[in-house]
Amino acid sequence: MPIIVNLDVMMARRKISAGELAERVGITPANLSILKNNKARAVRFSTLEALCRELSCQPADLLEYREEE
Amino acid sequence: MWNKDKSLLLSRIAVGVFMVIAALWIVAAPTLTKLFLDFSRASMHGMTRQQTLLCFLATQYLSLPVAGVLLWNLHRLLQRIGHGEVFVQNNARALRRISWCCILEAVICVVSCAYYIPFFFVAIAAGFVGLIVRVIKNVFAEAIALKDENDFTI
Repeated sequence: MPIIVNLDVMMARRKISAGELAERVGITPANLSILKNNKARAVRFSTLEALCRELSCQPADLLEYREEE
Repeated sequence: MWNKDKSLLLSRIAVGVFMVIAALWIVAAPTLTKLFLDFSRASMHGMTRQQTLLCFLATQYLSLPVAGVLLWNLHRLLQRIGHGEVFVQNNARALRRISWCCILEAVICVVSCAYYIPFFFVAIAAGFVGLIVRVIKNVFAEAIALKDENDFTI
């Protein structure tokens, strides 16, 4: 999929663990892992909103479009 | 109180009963066929009683492995549903196999019409059931795709 989720980059910048972020956002660590490893098919606006809120960032900081080779 | 677990158990028992019947049929087929021929006095054009018996037995012994595969797939399908695995690829594959078993059975019956016309009705019934199961399989395949989409929507 050409949409890349840069969640791990933002988590490293904010120095937050996966478990803590999952708890703050209100999703399971397994689902956060799916998101982090670019396995997700779609992201709900509510999840994106919670992620942006907890990581103090914009959606564009988390999502990136990269053309497929 | 009737619930889905009891309903599933009933289905599994029914499949088990049919498995036992199929197993017993392997042994009892010659005797039962002789009884049927005596009872029905099915007249075969230009065939002796022995030839007729052999034809009926050929149809039954060709059908039994197909029935075995069908029942085994039904058993596995119900087992997976019992474990909470409903919309999974294995179930769609099992339904596809069941559908092909029904269609194969219909083909066997159509061929058997050559010596006993009433097999035509069995062929129609088997073909129709095969078609229904195939449609259910298509619905399952779509449901699996939707479930995957839903599971990976975070």
